[in-house]
Amino acid sequence: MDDLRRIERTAEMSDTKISAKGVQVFYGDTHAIKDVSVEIGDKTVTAFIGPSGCGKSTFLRCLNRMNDTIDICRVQGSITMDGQDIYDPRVDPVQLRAKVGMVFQKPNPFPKSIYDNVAYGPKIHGMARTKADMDGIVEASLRRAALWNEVKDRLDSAGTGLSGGQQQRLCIARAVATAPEVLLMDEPCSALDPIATAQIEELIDELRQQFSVVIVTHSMQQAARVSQKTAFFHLGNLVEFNDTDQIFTNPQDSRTESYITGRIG
Amino acid sequence: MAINDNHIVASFDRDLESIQATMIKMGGLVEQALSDAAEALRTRDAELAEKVRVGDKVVDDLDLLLKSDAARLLALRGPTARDLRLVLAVMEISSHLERCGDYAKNIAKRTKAISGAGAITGTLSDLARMSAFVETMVRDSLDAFIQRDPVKAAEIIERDAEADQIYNTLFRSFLTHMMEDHKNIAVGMHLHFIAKNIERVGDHATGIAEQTIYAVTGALPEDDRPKHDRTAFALQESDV
Amino acid sequence: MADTTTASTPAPHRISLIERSPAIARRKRKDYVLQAFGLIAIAIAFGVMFLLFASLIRTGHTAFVQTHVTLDVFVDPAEISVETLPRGGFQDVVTNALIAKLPSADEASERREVRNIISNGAQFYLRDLVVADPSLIGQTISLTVPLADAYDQLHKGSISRETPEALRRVNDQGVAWLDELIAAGAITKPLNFALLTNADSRFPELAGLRGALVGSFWVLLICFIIAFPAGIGAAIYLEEFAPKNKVSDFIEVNINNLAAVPSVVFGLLALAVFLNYLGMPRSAPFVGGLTLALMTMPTIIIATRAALKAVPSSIREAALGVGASKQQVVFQHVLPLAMPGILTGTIIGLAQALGETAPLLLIGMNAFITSAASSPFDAATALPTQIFIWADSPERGFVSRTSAAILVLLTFLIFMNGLAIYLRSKFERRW
Repeated sequence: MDDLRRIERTAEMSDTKISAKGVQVFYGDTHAIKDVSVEIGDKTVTAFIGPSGCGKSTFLRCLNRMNDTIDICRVQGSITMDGQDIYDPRVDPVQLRAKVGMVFQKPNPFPKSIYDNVAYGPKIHGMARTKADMDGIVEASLRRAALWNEVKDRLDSAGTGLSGGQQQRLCIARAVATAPEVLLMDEPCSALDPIATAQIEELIDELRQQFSVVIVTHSMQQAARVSQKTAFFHLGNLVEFNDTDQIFTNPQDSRTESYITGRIG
Repeated sequence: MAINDNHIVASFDRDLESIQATMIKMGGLVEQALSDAAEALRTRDAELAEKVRVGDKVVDDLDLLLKSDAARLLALRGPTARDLRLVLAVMEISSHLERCGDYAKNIAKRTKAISGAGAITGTLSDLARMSAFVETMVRDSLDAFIQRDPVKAAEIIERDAEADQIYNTLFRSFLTHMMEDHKNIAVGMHLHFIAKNIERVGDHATGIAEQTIYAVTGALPEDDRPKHDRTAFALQESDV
Repeated sequence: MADTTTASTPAPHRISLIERSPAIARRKRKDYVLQAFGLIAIAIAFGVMFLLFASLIRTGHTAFVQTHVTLDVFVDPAEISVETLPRGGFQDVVTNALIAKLPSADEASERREVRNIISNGAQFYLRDLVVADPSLIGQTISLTVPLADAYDQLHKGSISRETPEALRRVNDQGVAWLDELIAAGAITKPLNFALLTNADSRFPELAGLRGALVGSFWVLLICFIIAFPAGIGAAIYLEEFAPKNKVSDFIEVNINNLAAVPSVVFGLLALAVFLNYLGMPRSAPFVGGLTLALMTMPTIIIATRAALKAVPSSIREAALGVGASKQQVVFQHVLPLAMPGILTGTIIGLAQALGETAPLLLIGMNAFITSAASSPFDAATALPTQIFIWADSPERGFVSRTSAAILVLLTFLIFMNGLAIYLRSKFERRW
């Protein structure tokens, strides 16, 4: 029992998966992210918290180069994954996004069948040679998303016919189907009811044994429940980054404490 | 919506079990310490008494550990309803157990102090009886908590009356002996403190039982715990 | 936190829920007036449409039936022989049969007038039968042929029997003959399927829309083949791939303007460039289709862009997040979801193209063509131009046929627009 407690309580000295140094992001003239440096550990859940507009979602989207799709967005500084700079011109963002999966705020399954939703990623990256291979990938992904038992008899029905929580788990299954190493989640539970939210949080707890998970959440209680490391963003700056139980029992920065205790908006 | 005994997030259950496990561990150590202290008193075993005295540090450390785990649990999980009452009850029980451990240590220290002297006959058997009695109260109160049984807990609270009665008897005994022979006063004082410590352990066991009632029903026990300790009024009666 | 106010606020005025305040009454009146205006507007619109249809049906309904006469025709081997087919005395054979039915007619002197009762095309109808089956020579067959236009109109009542003979197209003798045939039970008025199966003709009783229908079909097909891929491709490029700068804004403004250019200008363009400069065949559906494609493309581009814009960005983000490239996102996700909107816009554009007259007139698709086009490069007419031609013709029979042709065109237009609405509502997605 002691060992279990120790593992869950502290974020052990895990390897760094993503290392960001001096990252600046500009939207046109607006300086959205100001000199942020953070280390995301492997097999750890890292939470980004902060008030609205503080830049946590913007920073998250830098990690899989989704900001590339926005013309007026400029990213400076260094972001490396396993030592490789992801903004290197030789890196193909399409390849990167197979390694760094993303789950969005509003569940957005494709208007296709459940099977096709999960199979789409592996298909375009050529990960399955035969139908049996693909079936295996789909089943494994759905199992990992704790959705297999609920949908195994209706893989051909539309993905949009599921409930909100199930749709979000389908999106998670879709994201893990491409065998990513990092999973980015942008407020994944904000559109879900408390039971579905708890199911997703339990799922995140299981997923972190395999992936590095970065979750942006506007609920600091969720960050407290789910993560081992927490980063507090405020007005584009990274104010504090520490073990979660430290942040929530004894934060170092007064701004962090004000936000967590509900003394600032 | 299936009603479950387990939380959807399994690690929440693990955290709650963890602090209860620490509490049970403390309980075991405290019961053992009480039993050892009684044995050391009966056999005048200074070595055993020293072991009990030193062993209290472990109990104190466990109490600190439990308190910090509980604080973390409150901060990170935000428990509500029976989960909240459970955490608060476990914290209170831990305090009670820590005090019981301290009393066992004190008994052991005083046992060492009187190990050379003669006994005050008749009292030792009563002391042993009271010690065994409150030790059972502690064990039963922890069992009642584990089983979440408020009826059993209420019965333990009633039992404290008997422990108090034994203490009253012992108090009069000690007075008599000390009045008979002033050479008995030193030993008598130590033995009296030992008896008082044992009686206080009984009170703390009652406190543990009250926490069971709180954890299950949500009703904080009112302060009308049966206090049958009549020694505070003894001076008026004896007219010395 | 709250500071005490020195001035006390007046007690809140209690408003009864039952009482009507004058402001509410005024607002209600305005609502009624607005509703009334709306209903009046709809009533006017429907009224005008009703008038249009009523007048069309009134003038055109007679064209949907055609007076026929049933004759027993003896295929005289003296007039028709196998060796001289397809030539032969078919006219005389038919006339003989008719004279047989009219005992009051004097064979010798009134033969020509009798011959004028039936349509000129009757002889060719008989000829086609005999050519197909020469064994008919020597037999007596029953033949149902249309009457000539004047007698057809007389029987339908367009030519009134009350008019003085000098002003009537059919003289009293002819009227008497017609009555004789009616009394003999030889006159029938079946549905005029020939309206749709015959090609154009000098004779109204034989004129049909087949040439126009085939011509319109070729025109729309060519228009679709050219405008659909080009329009969608341009819209996809402009919406998804083109960088948002002044050049693309300029292009967008021009496309919107193109959609508003009068169609006659496209006709002049076609005349100058396609016919004169490039030397393409006149009156060909291919040129018509090309011209209408130019006209329809802006409509398709605008509709496609709107459909693409309506696909929510969450789908694009989801696809990008899984690692799809820009092309894969557009072609595998956005385009299939936008397809219902695109199809609706296309069908509406084609429906507009179906009714365009001016450009087709300018490239010469109002020529008098008596056979249907077999390829897009043969000369042909189209439905709207055919209507134009018939409207110009003096014969009484063409008056009703013009209205009938307009009704046929309107039917197609209503069908196409109805199809567009059906498709749109069936595939409409609630995001």
